[in-house]
Formats: sequence, C-alpha cells, structure tokens
Amino acid sequence: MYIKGHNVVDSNPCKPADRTLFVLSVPPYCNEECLERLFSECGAVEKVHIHQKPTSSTPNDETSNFFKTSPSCKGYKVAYIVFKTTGCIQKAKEMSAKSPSVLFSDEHLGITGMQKWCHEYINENSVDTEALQAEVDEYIAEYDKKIKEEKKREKDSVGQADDEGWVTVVRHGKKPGLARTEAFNKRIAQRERKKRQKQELKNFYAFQIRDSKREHLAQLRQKFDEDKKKISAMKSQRKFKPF
Amino acid sequence: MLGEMDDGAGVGTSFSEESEDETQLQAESAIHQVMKRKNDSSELQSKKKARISKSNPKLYKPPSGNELNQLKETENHFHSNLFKLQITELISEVCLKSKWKKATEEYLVQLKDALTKLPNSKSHEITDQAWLTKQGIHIPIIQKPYNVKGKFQFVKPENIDVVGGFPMDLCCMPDIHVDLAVEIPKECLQEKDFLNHRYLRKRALYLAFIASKLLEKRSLVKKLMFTYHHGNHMKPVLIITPEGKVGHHCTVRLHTTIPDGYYKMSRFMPSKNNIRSSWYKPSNEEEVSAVGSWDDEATPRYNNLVLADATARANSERLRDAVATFPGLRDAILLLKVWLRQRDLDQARAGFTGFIMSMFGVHLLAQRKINRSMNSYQVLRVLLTALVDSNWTKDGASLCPTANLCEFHDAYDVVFLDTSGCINLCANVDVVTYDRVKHEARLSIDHLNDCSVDGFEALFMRKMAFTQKFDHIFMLTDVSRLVVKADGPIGKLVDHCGDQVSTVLPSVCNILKQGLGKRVNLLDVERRQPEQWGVDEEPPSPAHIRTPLVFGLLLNQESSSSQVLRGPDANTAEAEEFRQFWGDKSELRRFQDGRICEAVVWPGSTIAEKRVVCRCIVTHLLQRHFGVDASFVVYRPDCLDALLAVPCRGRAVAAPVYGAGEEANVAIVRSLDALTKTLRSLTDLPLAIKAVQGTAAVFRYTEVLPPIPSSTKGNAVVKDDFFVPKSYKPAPPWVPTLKGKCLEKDGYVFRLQVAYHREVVLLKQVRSPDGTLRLQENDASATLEKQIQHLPTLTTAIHGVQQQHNSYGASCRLFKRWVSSQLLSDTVTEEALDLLAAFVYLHPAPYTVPSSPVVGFLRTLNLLALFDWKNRPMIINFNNQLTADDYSAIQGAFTSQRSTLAAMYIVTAYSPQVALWTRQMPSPQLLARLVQLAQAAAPTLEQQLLEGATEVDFKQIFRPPLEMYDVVIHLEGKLLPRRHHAVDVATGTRLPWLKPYTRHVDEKMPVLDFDPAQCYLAELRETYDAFALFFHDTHGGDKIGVLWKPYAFCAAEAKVSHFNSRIPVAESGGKLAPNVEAIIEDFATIGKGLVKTIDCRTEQWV
Repeated sequence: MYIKGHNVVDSNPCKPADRTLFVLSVPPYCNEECLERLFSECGAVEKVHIHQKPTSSTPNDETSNFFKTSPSCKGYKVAYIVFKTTGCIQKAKEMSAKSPSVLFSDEHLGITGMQKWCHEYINENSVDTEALQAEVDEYIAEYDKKIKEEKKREKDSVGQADDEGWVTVVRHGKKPGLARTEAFNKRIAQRERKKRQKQELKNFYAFQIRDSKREHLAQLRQKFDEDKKKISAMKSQRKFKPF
Repeated sequence: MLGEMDDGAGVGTSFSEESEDETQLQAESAIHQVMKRKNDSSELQSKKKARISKSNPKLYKPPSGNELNQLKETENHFHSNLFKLQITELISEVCLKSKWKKATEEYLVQLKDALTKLPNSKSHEITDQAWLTKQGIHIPIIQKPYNVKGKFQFVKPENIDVVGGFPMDLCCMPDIHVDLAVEIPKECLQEKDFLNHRYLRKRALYLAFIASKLLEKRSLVKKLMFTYHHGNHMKPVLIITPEGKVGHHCTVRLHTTIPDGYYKMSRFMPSKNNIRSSWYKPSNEEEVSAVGSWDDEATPRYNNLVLADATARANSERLRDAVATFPGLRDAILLLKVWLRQRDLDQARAGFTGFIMSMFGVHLLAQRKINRSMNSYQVLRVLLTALVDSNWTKDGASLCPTANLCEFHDAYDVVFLDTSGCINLCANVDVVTYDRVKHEARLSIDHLNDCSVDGFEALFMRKMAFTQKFDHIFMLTDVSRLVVKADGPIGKLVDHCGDQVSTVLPSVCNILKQGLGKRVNLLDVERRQPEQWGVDEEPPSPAHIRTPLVFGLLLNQESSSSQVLRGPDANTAEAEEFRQFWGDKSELRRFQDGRICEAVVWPGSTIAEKRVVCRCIVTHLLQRHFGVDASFVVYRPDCLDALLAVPCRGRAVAAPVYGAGEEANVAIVRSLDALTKTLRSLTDLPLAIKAVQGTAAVFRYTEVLPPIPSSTKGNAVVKDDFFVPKSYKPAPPWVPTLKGKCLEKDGYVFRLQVAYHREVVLLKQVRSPDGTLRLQENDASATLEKQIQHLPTLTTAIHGVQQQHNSYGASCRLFKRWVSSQLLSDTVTEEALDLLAAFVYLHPAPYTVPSSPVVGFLRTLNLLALFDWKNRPMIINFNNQLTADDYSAIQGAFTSQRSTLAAMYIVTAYSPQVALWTRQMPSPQLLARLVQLAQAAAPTLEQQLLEGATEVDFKQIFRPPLEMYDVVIHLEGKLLPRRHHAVDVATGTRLPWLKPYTRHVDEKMPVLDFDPAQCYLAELRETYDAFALFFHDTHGGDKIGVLWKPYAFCAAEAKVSHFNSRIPVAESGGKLAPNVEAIIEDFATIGKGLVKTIDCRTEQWV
C-alpha cells in the first residue's frame, strides 16, 4: 500500500485536505475496518472511504436495502482515511515501510476465501421478501403520487401565459395525436418515397430502357470483377490445393 | 437487326463503328435478347447499382463479342461466376504444369530408348527364378500354386505406348503418373499362356527383368518400386521414379500389353474356364480338405484380368478421340477424379477408378447425353446425374453396342463393358462401392443445388474421412478369420486367384445389410491406397493389404436403435428362413395386433444402451454366419459415453435413471412442462402469462451433465449443484425485475424471470435535442434483450434441432465437455458452442447429418479446427429462413467490416446482422488457441477410432496440457461440489450418494449453484484482470491455470492508476513493475481454505 496526503483541486467537505490520507493499492480483502485498525496507531480515524478509482466525491448514501445504486468495489481499490486531527498524516507518513504492519491479527480475522463466499451466498439467498415487498410498494406509491402531482400541475397551467406571454397548447382527450418518435418519422418518410416511386414510369422512354441495359451489363461486369478479386484472394490463401 | 442492336446496346456511334464483325453482331443480339427478358426484374436493382458504379467508366465501355459471350455463358450455364473461376483455378492447380509436362515427355523418349535397347535373356523354366534372385530382385507376384509349366525368355519389347490419361492431360494430383504399356513380343509368349496363371507369371517376370536392368541405369532411374495395379494382387506394375527434377513431379508406371489379336476374344468370355482343376490342386492333404474340389467352373475375373492387358490400348485411344475435341469433358473428368480422390473411392481393389469415370464420360458421349458444346460444369452435372440414375447391377452399360450383357450380369455384380465388349471395367467394383459412389453423387448434386452450401468446397476441396463419414465404425482385426469354408464357393476363390477376403467380403456385406435392414442407409468398407514395395522385397499378401478390415455404417436415425425386429408369422416358410438367419436369437412373440410372429429382441433400456443395438447385431451375425469371434470385432459406438455419465456411489431405486445424461435431461424438461401448466393455471395474476420458455442450456439438451435431484449428505455448506434454468413470461410494466425468483419442483430449482418486452424499448428510449424520442441501444438494453428475447428464441431453435436429430444433444455435450476440459470453458459463451455443434447438424455438407454422438463430436472438432474464421462468417440457417440473397448480403457485410467484427463470427437466421453470442468472447488469441487444440485433438480421436487394440484411452484428448501455464493453483478437492464430474475422478474422491430429494422441514430452498471455485475465479479475475488470464474446467476441475498477459511485465509509468499490485523499480527510473511475489501470496489469501498449493513455473517468466 502507498500513502499520500490528500490534495486535489476541487475539495470535498467530507475529505478535508489537511486531515485526509490517500491510500493506493488496497488489496481486495482489505475493508474499512482493517484500514481503520491499521491507521489507528497514527491517531483516531474519523471515517474511511473506499473507492474503485481515485475520486473527490463521496459515495452516495444507499437509500434502499435491496437495490444498490453504486456497484460495490472489486479488486484493488483506493481508500481515503479521514483522521480526527491534522497531525496524524505526518505520523502516518513516518510509518516504516521496512517493518510490515499486520493487517489481520488473530483476534480480528479478515474474512477471505471460503468463509467469505459462504457469507455472500447466505446473504444473497436469504432475502427478506416482506421487507422487499414493503419497500417496493412504498416506492411505487411515491412514484404514483409524483405523477399525479405533475398531471395536476399541467392541468392547472392550461391556458395560462408564461413570462413572455406564450401559451402552451396541449391536446388532451382520447386521441393524443402523433407520437414524436424517430421511428415514426422514418416510417412517414418511407411511405412518401414509395408513393413517389409508384408514380414514376420506368420503361417508357427509349433512353430508360437503354440505360437499364447498360446498367445490367455494368452490373455483370462488376460482379465478374468482384469474383475475380475474390479468387485472387483465395489463391493467395492457397485455397485451390485440394491435396 | 442493326437497328435493334443500336437501341439495345445503346452506346451511340462509337459502338456501331466497332461492331463490324459479323459474329460479334450475332453474339450481341443474343445477349440483347437475354437482357430484355431480365430487364423488368432487374430494373430496381440496377438503379441502386447505378448510384454506386457511375464513377467507374470502365464498366460502361462498349462490350466486345468475346466478353459478351463469356458473360452470357457464366450467367446461363454455370452455377455462378465464382464457381467457374474456381473450377478453372482448381484444374490448373491439379494438372501437371506444362513445363514439367515437356520435361516428362523428354524423359519418356529416353526411357523408351533404353527399354528398346535391352538385351534378350536366356530361356529359363518359369519356376526357375534363381537368375532373378541373383540380381537382387524378388518376383512381384504371389506364386500359389508354385508350379507352372512353361519357359520364360525376355525379348525386348517392340512397341512401347503411353496409355491412360497423360497424353490428354487427364492426370491429376496427388500422384501424377504416366502409364507406359510395354508390349510383350510374340516370341516371349507360348500357346495357351492364358491358362493357369501362366501369362500372369510371365508378365511379372517380364517386369522383374526390366527392373533388374533398369537398376543399373542410375542416370535414368532414381527409385524402383512395385505396386498392385488397382490393388489386384495378381497384377503388379513397376513404378519408376525418374532421376532429376522430373521425379518430384511425376512417376512412370510400367504395364504390359500383348500384340493385337494374339488371343481369341471368345476364349475370355465370362462363362469360360481358364484355370483347370487339374492344375490348381492343393499341395498337401490339409488344404485338400480346406479347399475341397470343384469342377471346372467359369473364371470370369481371371479371364478379365488376362484380357485387360490386350485391350488397354484400344480403350485409351477411344478416350483420346473423345477428349481431344471436347475440352468440357476433359475438365469434367479431371474434376471428377479430384472428387473421387477426396472420397477415397478410387483406391484399392474395389475402387471406382478415374479410368472408369473417364470411360463413363465416353459412354455418355456415345449415347448423346452430352455434346461437344457443353462446358465442364454441365458435363459434370450430367455425369453425376447419370451415375445416380444408373443401375449397373441389373442393367449394365456398355461401350460396345453389340455386347451381350446378360452373360456378364450372371458373372459380376456391377457391369460396365469396354469398347471390345469382352472386358468388364467394373470387374473389381463390388456392390458396396457402387452404392457408395451413387450415394456420393446424389449428395453432390444436392449440394450444388443448395444455396447455403459452398458447392465447390463441398465437392472438391474437402477430404472426406472415413471416420467422419460414417456414424458407426467397426473393424475386423484379423481378416484371416474370414475364410471360405470347405462347403463354400470354392470356384469363386479360384477365380479370385486365392484372395480369401475379396471372395468372402461380398457375402459378409450382404448378410450384414440383410440383418441391419432399415437401420442403416449405407454400408461401406474402407478403401486404402495400395501399398508399394521395393523390388527386392516379397510382395504383400492380399489379406495383409486389407488388415484391419474397416466397415462403416451410415445409420438411419429413426430406426437404428429400435430393439425389436418383427419377422414373419410363425409356422410359415419364411419363418423358417428367418430362424435360420438369426439362429437362437429368434423367438416367438405375440404382438399388439394379436399375431404371433418370429422376432428378434435386443437388450437396452436407456437411450445410450439402445445406441449399441447395431453392435449386437453385427457381432451376432459375424459369429453365426462366418464364425468370427466377437473378440476379433472392434466396435465402439459408446467409446465416449463415460464422459457423459456421472459416477456416484449408490443410487436409490426411486432416483431417476441417468444413462448418458439423456434421461436426466428429459426428466427436467418434463418437470418444466408440469411447472408451465401450474403457472398457466394461475388466474389471479394482474396480467395473463403469454408464454413460458426455458433459457438454460438444459432446455436445449446441451447441459454437459444435467443435474439430478438428490439430497447429499456431508458437507454442511456445499451441496450438489441443482440446476437453475430461467423461464420467462410477459407481465405488467410495474413488476420490478428481480435477480431471480426461485421455485422448487420435483427436487429441481427453477429460477423464474419476468420478461416484459416493452421494457427493452423503454430502456432504449432517448430524447434527442429536437424533442423526438429515439431508440438507442445501450449496455443495459442489450443485456436485457439478449436475456429475454434472443436467448429464448435460440433455446427454442436448438431444441428443434435436437427434436429433429436426436444425437445432437449428446454430441454437443461432448464438445462442450472437451472445451471445458481444456480449461477454456469461460473463454467462449456456452451458446456459441451450442451453435457450432448445431452447424454440423444443419449444414453437414459434404457429409450427411450425423447420427451418432461420437461422429457429431468429431465433426464439430474438425469444424472448429478447419473453419476459416478470418475470412468467412459462419451462418446458421435455422429452418432454412435465409435465402441465397441473404447469404450474399451477410458475406458482403462481413468482408467489408471484417476488422471491426468478432474473431469468431457466428450469425443465425434469427439475427443475421449481429453475432450475438460471440461479440465479446472469444478473443482472437484464445480463438487461435482453441483452434490449435482442436487441430491436435481431432486427428488423435480419429486415429483412436481406427485403433485395433481393445483398450484405448479415449479420455486422452480430454486431458489438458498444463506446461504452458505460468502458475497452476491446485484446489482442495473436497470443497468442489462437482469433483465427481471430472474427466478423471481422482482415486479416493468421495463420490456422492444419490438419494431421492426430500425437503427438510425448515429448509427454505435447497443450496444451489454454490461453487467456491467459481467464486474464487470471479474474484481473481476482477482483481488481476490487468496481469493475468485464469483458466479452469467448470466440470470438476481442481486446477486453475494462470497465464501472465504478454504486457504484464512491461514497466508502467508511475501513475496513480498503475500502482495496483506494482512496486517501483529503482533501475528503470522509478517506473512500476508488478510485485509478483505479493500477487502470488495474494492468490493464496483470496482463496483461503480452497487453495491447496500453488505451483509456480518461475523459469517461464523470469
């Protein structure tokens, strides 16, 4: 692990520059608890943030117990250790690289290997369905409420001019009019094109017939050329040696 | 005419000035007509093209007559433009280059000169061969019986002619040879030489004498060998390898002929006898009883053999006349020679030689089925079609219009007479070979008609291996067991000049065909290239040449594994015959319709056991009719079944049958069906269920080892893995997609996923700046779409393949097992492997659809090894949805964007634009590795299948090489839930007891899908992705192979993002290098409990 004082341009109130230690190359099995224990010999630790990559922001608080908003850190990571006092950083920097510190002592066994996987499996598979249902219901209810409010607001604003005096006209009712999607636009364009093609006569004038014949010949030639190219490519791959 | 042309070709004045030539005018008006017809249909297309090609003025220049003719010909008479060009290239490739042809001709002049200057020898008794032995030459013929009266004196040949294909450029690779016929002068011959092998002996002595003299001419001859002409052990020919560079390109074969009109043709008609019983007397008592006695029966084959020398010249002149003015025929013959050779049809004694094919061409010309204006492709098609329609076993063909065919049909199986009407060109061809040729011709025509097949490659470029062609292969390891019994057809044996195998083989094939009946579509015997031997060596015996005798069966998949053969009603004459045929296997049975019939019943309860019914039949029949003990028959259709079964300690009665996995799989599918019913009966859902579809491999019948429900005792955490399929149903939009809802039924755990197709669209929607809604693909939508739309479609499609071809599942499982056993299971998606195996079944060209797992597996391996991944897309045409146009569109798109596409590009009819299943994996490097391994495994397996020994280690190709890995991590065996799935289960491994699954009272859900090895791998991969690749066998592998990435050891800049598990190195100026010791230590820390030892091959990277 490598450490460095935290010093970036856009600072974050959760990571004050003078009290935060930046730790690089944190192994995957090392969690907040380990780091706190490790650096507590330099001074009291206020908070440990672990990230996948160096960042100045702090992780958002998880609002849901079941649907995580940010993926959990995997593999090697970086950590920010916020000390309670300012002097600790200097102390930490003075820690000797020669005498390795013990990450896991016997009484604080880090969880790795089989133990960890068993825990994960159990956690993953023992979902409290009732709590989950409750949370989902709550979310949906909130969402419904929000939509309702929005609609109401819209209805209220019908016919009212905005600051510049413009009035937004919205069509309500059973037929909502054409949807403004890209696929729809394309379909219309295609229909137009077809209509135009239908009206056009293709073998009326002599020059049209002549042209189409020339085109046919040109097409044959082009195909012949293409095939020739293919053959020469195959030849270079020695595709004609059956034995 | 001119006017029409003017507005037709329409290039104005410059054009009419050019076209003064009369023939040109005609050609143009012809093409004009053709173009007129095509006009309307191609109008739209040509408009499109116009936009692209206007830029190229070359395409619009006025055409010359020649060019028009050429374009027209390819358009109307060839399969496609490409096909024509390919044929031209192929022919120029297989022919002798003109430079070497010239050199050969010069050499032939020298050789002829040398031969005509040979001195005459003294006269010897034929039996006195001491003079020959003195010169170090062994007579190239088996002399049995030894005594032949008469004298031999060498007199220098009068005429030496080049016969065969060389003068017409009909010689074809790989062994280009000049057939030189040396005429034995009258002085050498005696009256009645044709009797009792005397001519054949003299012939052999004549060649031996020439060989002895040529040995001295070192300036002319590099090497002298003998071989049997078309594998016929009575007819040796001398092979001369010319000295100098000519010898690298071609050899000379010395045949003999006799002066024209020396023999009376009538002496050699098939009903005549020319080997007298008074001469062909066995020498001792023992053989007397074995051979018995015979009256002077007709000896048609022997007659044919002797007379063939007399008519060789006439035939090759006839061929020359036909070919000389007919280049189309010449090219077609060359192509067919390649075709025959790729199928090994022209080899050995019973081969359908290129010469027969050439003469067949001549025959068709005489019959006006082909005419001189046809091109090679047309002639080829007519020849193949005529072959398919021919019936030479009943209604033979003849080049001599006055010949009497009936007489020949009595004597031979297959009849095709030459110009003289006395020689049967197909004398050695047996019914088996003839049927095979017809079968191949039929297949080839189908390939030419099928747009999804590259006809050129299927017909000419692919070597057809015997092991891949036939579903079942069996061998007679000791052909000397096949003997003509004392009461058998002794006359035939004499006619075959003592060749036991050739005499008995037709009846063996006959009996087998009769016994196997509808179970097989085709039976064939392997043909091998005839041996060559040195002039001082003893000639090999005919039995030796054919050891071991390899048979191939092409199964009819519907009926090949049926267990009951219903015979005729009891107590009828046919019943007695049936009983005679089957012996004690035949028994009386009462059938459902109330009739009592003779029947034969074969054992077998599982699908895997039923697959070997054919073996029971073959061994029984060989034993019964030919006295060949089963120990001499090597027949292993089940050789790889061990890899598909799961060993376990005990199996309770109620547990489902496992078989080779098929039964277990069916049980799961049934369970899903029941579950579907239950789900559909749910009425109080907010939205109805539209469909329930499986997405797991088990519903495609391709799960390598389908799980069985059981309670496993012992380890508290790790239980046997239960299977986790996913089903899906449309549901209202507000139902959140959960990671999985599990459901347990019949001891299986099903994981349900709600599929709502609108969800994909919602995920894709993006509002563009102008306010319209746009659909834009992103990672989340792609994953979901794959999961709920493409995967179920694929599963259904592949399920259909399995329903159509019942060996698909097993062969695909073998293939997947092989990939995973090479520790490569996580480098390719499972679906891609399923598709690869499906390709073999849906596009089997040039073969037929495989009907046995082993052959399916072998062909899949070969496909992986030989497919040109770099230059060709693999297109899997489910339900024949794609048309020829679709094919060319896919190919065109592939060629133009090759560099951006996946290394292994597999598209299906359901998603012709995107290689859904191979987009991310495998990487080009790993694909190369996979191909390399397949290239090594396929020939090994092929060789093992032809191995005569009873004990063959078929697991050999399933054992991965470990030398290439830098670090090997050994895992603790007892923590691996699938340890008993391993290819070689380590001795002392505790196998699980399989007990029927019962639910524990407080068990919410059985432990499933918990595999510590997979957890460990996942963690390793996410941690050390930058440094190493990890390889593991999902099916019970107890090792993880680690390979450092090529750039892992390059020093990296000292940046924050580079610090992970690297340390600064002083000598590189503060750059960072990986801290290997720490990494390896961490391997152990991360996998605490699971890792047993870590094996470092330090020498490989330090």
